[in-house]
Amino acid sequence: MTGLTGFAHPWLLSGLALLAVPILIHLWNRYRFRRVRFAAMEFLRESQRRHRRRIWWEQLLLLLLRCALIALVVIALARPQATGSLASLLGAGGTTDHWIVWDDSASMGQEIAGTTPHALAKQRILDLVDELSRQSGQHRVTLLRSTQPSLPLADRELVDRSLVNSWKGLVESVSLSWESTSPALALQTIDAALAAGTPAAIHILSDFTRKDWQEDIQTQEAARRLDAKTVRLRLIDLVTKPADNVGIIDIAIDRSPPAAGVPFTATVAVRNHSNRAVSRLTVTPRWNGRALPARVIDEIAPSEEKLASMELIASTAGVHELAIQIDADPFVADDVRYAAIMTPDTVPVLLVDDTPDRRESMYLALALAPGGDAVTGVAPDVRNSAEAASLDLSSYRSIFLLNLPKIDREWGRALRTFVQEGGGLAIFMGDQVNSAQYNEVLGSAEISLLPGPLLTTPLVDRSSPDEEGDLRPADDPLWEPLAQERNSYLQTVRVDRYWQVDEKNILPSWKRVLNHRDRSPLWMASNQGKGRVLISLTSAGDSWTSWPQNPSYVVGMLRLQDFLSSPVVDRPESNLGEPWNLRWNLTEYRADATLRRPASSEITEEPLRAQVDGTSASITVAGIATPGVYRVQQTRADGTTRERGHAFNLDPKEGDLSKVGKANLEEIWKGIEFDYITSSERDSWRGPRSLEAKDAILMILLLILVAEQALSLRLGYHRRDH
Amino acid sequence: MTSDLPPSLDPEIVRRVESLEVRSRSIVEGLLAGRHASPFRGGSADFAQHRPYAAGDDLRYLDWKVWAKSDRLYVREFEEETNLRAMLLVDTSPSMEYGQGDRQKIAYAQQLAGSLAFLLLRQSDSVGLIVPNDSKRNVPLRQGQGHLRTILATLLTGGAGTPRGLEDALVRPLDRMTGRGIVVIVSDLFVDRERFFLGLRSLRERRHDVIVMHVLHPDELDFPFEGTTRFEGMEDDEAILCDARGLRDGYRQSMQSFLTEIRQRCGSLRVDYRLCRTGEGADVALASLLRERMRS
Repeated sequence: MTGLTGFAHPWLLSGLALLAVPILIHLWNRYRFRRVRFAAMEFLRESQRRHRRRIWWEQLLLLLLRCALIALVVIALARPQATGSLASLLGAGGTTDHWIVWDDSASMGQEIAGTTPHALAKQRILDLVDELSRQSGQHRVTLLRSTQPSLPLADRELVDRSLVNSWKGLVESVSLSWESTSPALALQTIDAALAAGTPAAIHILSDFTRKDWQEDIQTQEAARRLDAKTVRLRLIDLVTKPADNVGIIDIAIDRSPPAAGVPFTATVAVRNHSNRAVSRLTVTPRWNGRALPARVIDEIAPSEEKLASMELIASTAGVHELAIQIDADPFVADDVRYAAIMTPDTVPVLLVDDTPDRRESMYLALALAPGGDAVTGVAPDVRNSAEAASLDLSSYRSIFLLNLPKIDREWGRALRTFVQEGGGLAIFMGDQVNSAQYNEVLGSAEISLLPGPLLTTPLVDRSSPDEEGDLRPADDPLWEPLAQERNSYLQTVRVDRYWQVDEKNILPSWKRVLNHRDRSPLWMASNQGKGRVLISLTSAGDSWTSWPQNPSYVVGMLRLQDFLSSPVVDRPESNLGEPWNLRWNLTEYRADATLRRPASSEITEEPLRAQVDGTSASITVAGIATPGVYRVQQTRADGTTRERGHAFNLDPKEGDLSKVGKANLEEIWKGIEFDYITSSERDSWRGPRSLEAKDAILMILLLILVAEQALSLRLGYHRRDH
Repeated sequence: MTSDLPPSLDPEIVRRVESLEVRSRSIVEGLLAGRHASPFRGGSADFAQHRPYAAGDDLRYLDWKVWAKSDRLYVREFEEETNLRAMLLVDTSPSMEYGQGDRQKIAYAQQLAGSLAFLLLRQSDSVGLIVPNDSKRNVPLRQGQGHLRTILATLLTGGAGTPRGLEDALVRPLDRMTGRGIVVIVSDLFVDRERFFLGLRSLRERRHDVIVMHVLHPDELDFPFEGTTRFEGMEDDEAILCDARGLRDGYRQSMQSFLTEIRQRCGSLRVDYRLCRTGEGADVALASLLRERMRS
């Protein structure tokens, strides 16, 4: 509906009777004239004859202007209520759109003086609506949460007294989100919905953290666009001084995935976001819901991080939940953090060995799976290259090529794909290797699994070994477990034959992991896609080196296996609010799946239906708002199931509660006009930035008054003595 | 002095006559101070005597024959310097009553006419008066200073005459004025212009020297009125209620056209025309007139 909908004080319209005044004055003036006996009537008569029509019109116009003056004053006092285009014509005297952006990101849950900014925002919103209900003109309010601006809590609702009451329940029911979302999205949503020139105001209730307001360029850009639309931007700062906060920012494990029964180490990173040192901080791990002995961090300096490590072991295969809790502080959201650890029964590893006696793989298989009490979780599968070519490589975590004479181009491509998707590949050389064929296939630009061209013949070392042996490990985490044993065991290792790489043409993405005494590289590694590749220029068996007969060989190979099977980027973890994307092959698993939420959530299970594209299926789990470990159970074609776990945690950046003040905002938002209201100030609405109704009417009044005066002067009503 | 006036004359009129006479004298003497020649000259005169030439005497009156005989400069003096006949037509129509005090048009016209009468009688011319709007008040042509009072008293006696009598007066009363003479018309010229100029043409055809003293009040020239005003005609019952300022420009245009027309038509008839604004002094108007005539 567009047009005039009524008046705030309709009884004042009776003042329109005053319109009779200028008419009466006009008539009165016709009889209140001065008399002049005049001689030159002839010329007066002639002038009157010529100008009679013009004078009549001027008189009429003057009368109408005076009537209009009175009418406008009366209408302005009666406060017209308008909608649509008439409202825009009258400025805010019509309807003003109010957009309330409620920052419900996790940082709004920090406890300050017994309350939280989130709770303060509730009261502020109710106060604002109450204030608007008492103001003149029409007001429509839209309530958006910064984390979900596309789902407004209220959409353009007309403000009246009943709305104030109904909003009490609405606002009270809104709980804090655990997400970390800047206001940019909300401002962009408003920008898209708001036409330029509409009388509007955006009230942003936030804690104004530095992360969202200073570092987020999109927020500034959106604000600038809204400013260009002459929207009144009102920043209501609910935090005077942010709380001191210490939070967990990361949980890392040293190998992925650790097999059932294999011990692994989890390392927790804790950051002190405050300006004061924190001492005696307790870190409590819970493994599958069972509390483990706590660690204590003695002290964390301001703005510093400290690590706490703990040895864990998954006794069974499947998804395991590690929850770390630290001492509670005013911001509890980052005092707990979760990690999902998926342990298989075993880690399948493919060893490809074409030697008749499998001598190349014998030592390696033994090192990876010694048997007896030594549980490594690794299950070596030894095959020759002909068998390996027909295997589904994706079922292995890592593949070892052991002294293979040649590699088919097609299989080379399969290996390349295997690595790109997260697999680990180790290429061990030996006397059977045809270097030219390797260069042609693995060294090709298409496959690119070599650090550089291999030279034509292996180098034979005939020199006498020194007392440190032939191995020189590079500075790499791979060798950490051997660091203290290097002197005793590695010193005795002899490598008397190895292939050489054209060192002038080594690709920059490759690094040395192990060198020969003569500084030639023996092991080189590279991250490729999501996976890893390592090339050993000497043999895995004992044909070219004595290492397989050395005790350090077992440790070295297990570390190599861990290195290869740890995905480079993928960790089963997301920030709250971010999606969890799953893809699988329909030949392996059915299209339907089940989402299991953490036990603390109300809904513990919900069915999922995958998007099917040919033989692949995909699911996106979105809208996760509660931290914890979530699991998706899939069913294989044979009816057996498997579970995949994913931890959802608060964005660690959200724990930094430092904020921007008014001065910062003025600098960041240079050129943007905004009101800044602190939590201690009373928020009083002064109307939109665009022309107000009374301003518009007053301006029209002024124009009419000027016109009336000009016309009066012209018509001689301002008498001057002569 | 009062003995020259009719004994029945209102003492107020007598007082005003005397006052006008004093003012006329004052004006004329001021005008002629140092001036020995009159712009109004007669055609012939009887010789009276010779007197020695004095610096400033008109050379035309030098007697060259005496100079040839005696080698002395003598000026010829005449018994009577003029036989000029001047008729004053003073408009006393109601429209001439516009204005107040000295600015009233009729008062101004009386002053002009009185001054002229004094000037002409002083040089022994015959002066008559025609009041076009009141034929009973006409004064025949006479000479002598005593005649001045009669003229002045006639000018001041009686109220406004009938409107629009000037056009007729130019024809009939002047028929009796034989020979060449000067006709001085003092009026606001709110008359039937066609008939008026017909009369002027007739006068000119009879070889009269005609002078028009056009008397207008500043209000009539500038129209300074403002506000709602009811203008009531002074010569009829016409009334116009109007916003004066709204009509001002149109009025001024019409007035300007009127003055231009008068000036042009007088020029074409070789009639001396002088616009007199009642605000300015009568001496100024007369001085201007005398200057123009001396020049011609």
